[in-house]
Amino acid sequence: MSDRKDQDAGVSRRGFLGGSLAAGAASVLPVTVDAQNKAAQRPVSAAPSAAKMEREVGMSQPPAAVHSVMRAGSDLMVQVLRDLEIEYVALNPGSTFEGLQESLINYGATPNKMPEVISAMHEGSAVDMAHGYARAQGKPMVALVTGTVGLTNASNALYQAFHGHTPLIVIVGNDEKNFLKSQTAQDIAGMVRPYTKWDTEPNTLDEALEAIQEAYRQAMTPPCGPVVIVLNSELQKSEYEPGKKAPTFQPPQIAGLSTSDASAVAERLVAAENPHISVGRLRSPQGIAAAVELAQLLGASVDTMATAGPMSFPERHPLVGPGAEKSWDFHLGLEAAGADVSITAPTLKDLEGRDPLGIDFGWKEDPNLRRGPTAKQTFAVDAEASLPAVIAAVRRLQSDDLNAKIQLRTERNAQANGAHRIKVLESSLEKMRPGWDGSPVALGRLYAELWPMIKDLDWCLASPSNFSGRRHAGLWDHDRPHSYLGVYPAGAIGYCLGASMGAGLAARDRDRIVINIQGDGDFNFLPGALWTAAHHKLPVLTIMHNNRAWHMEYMYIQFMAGVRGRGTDRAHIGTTFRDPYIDFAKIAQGYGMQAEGPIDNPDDMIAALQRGIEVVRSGKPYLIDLLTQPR
Amino acid sequence: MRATVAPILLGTLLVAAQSLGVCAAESDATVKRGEALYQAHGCYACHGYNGTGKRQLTEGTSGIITNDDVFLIYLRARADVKPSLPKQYMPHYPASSLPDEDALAILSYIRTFDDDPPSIDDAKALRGILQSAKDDIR
Repeated sequence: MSDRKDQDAGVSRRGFLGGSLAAGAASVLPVTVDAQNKAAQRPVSAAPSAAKMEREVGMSQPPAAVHSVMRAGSDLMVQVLRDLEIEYVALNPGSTFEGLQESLINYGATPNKMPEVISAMHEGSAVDMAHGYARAQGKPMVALVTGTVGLTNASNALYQAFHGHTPLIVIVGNDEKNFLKSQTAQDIAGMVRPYTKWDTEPNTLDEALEAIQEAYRQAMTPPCGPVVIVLNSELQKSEYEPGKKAPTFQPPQIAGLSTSDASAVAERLVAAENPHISVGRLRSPQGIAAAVELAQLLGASVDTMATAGPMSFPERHPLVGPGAEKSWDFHLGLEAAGADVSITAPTLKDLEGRDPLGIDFGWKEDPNLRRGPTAKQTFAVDAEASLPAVIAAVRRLQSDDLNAKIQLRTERNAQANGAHRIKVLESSLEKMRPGWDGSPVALGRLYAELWPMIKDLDWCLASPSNFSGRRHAGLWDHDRPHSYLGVYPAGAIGYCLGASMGAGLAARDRDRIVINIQGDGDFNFLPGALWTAAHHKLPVLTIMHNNRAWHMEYMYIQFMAGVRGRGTDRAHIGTTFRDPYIDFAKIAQGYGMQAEGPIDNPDDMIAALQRGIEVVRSGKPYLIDLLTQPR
Repeated sequence: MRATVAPILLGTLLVAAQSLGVCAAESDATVKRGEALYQAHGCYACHGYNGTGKRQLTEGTSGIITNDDVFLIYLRARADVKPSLPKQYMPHYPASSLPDEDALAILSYIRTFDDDPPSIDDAKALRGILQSAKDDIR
């Protein structure tokens, strides 16, 4: 029986064991006499009965009275996910959601690919993938985790997603029959409630189907954030009534400015001689398109957060820059601070009833809100939802005279911004020069050599760049919603590898590649994400920023030792990877990924980057272990 | 008050010391010892393995390597820094943690750093990036 199963799975038992037998041969120890005696004393198994043999070879039929579930409740759950255009469910298999997992792979045309099951090696990786995916695509995917143990593993990644205002859905399996009592709880979601936006635990199949839809609405409605559904295993395994269908989805209704407020803002924009718009992080590519439309209607100069995170105004648009005159007479902020008017969605900090214990996790400042002037007037509504009304009001105020003035303003701003861009670029290029030919490789050289190789592709820089000096900013063109996915929202290291693979999921079927300049400290938290990349063929080029340390902490300890006058020659203890060094290429190869390195000089790096991009463009991940200057 | 005075005093001392123009006699053995100390104390963390890191230490890029006295004054003059937040600043080095002899050996090693990067025009990647941007805005 087991041989047939292996063959069905495309893996022969002989082949599977062959590799391990060869490896294990050298370690076989001589069998002792005592062990031989013990073996002789073991009872001999009785021969199987005829009935058992029939079952074993598949000849017996189940009794007619056995009920086979033909209309699995979890099939409808999958249909709801499909209707929501959820593309992926990342999971580490657990004993509380076998009903849903079976539907995910077998519902409809098999194997089901909508949503597609993504194998994660750890629940933290699953949520990090959902985080990276949502930042790249502006919509959620699902992480499926098992009971209390799965959710606690996921909790750090959830905490980070919460601080990032990232829409994602976590489904937690719960087994009321107490398969493993220790993995159940009366209120599982309570463990993460203070740092999730919304949660529910439905009691019926109907409630469960509606809960999935509501989870999507909650995640996507500002303030966006991670949400949790606890799905009882009995609901997953329940059978629905004949003819029952998944409920029709009602998309979220996101409030924007009222018509009168939108008109008032539009009047001030149109009346201004030199308007300026600051654009922060919007929700979707549609929002970015609307922001571009508004800026172009006005010829307004714009500043963008595209070099700091996703979903902002295209950096190389001719209107981006300070404009011809920096004396702006009306400054509008869209999910950013404007001196005159700011339109910014409420934040998760403002949620009520989510933190009954008053833990008040780490709120300092809205990470989406750009530092800048305090607005004279602030509207606490979603900017993206407000833009259609503002644009419509601006259009109503258009006239031939006004359009001529705006045309002139557009040309003057574009010309000034172009000159500004070259000035900033020349300054950035100068900063790339130090250590150009040095070894280990200077990070400036890495970013400078990489850019010409990818600039004509659809690329996404998924890795936080704060530890590599943000050298893409000013050098690369951040023109797409997913050009750069931003820093660690809560500074929780370990996110980068999983998030990059989530960006890889977003990229895989969209002719896009992902660049992951991967810190070595971060890598070692959840390296199993490399197997996910290899298995699911994710187009992710991982370049190790291998400085052999948790480098920021290394510098912190040096400073502290200096403050205390005790010398810095022991600062490496607990902060560096020495004795032995880590071979990241071998790790990646062990997970089935093409990889090379360590590489420590620029010429070899250039050749490796070219090879890596070629492999990634063919739809496979690649890793380059690059020994770099620390910063 | 003290926090205000310290940088001014340091600046004055640095200027005075610069005018002395004292240099250490460098030998291969000293440089070698300096290299070992540079690595052991993790100077590369901020300054890079060859002085081209975030805080450059090649000739003409840092005032603190002007001469021996400036270097020593800089190392010894940072004791007032308050440890309120984690910082990536230059640590303080009293003589008890880094004797003059060791500090000057490190300086001897630093003086061997030689970075001569190509100009933007001479570096293919940099030149290409600039030209591409110029073409884009035309």
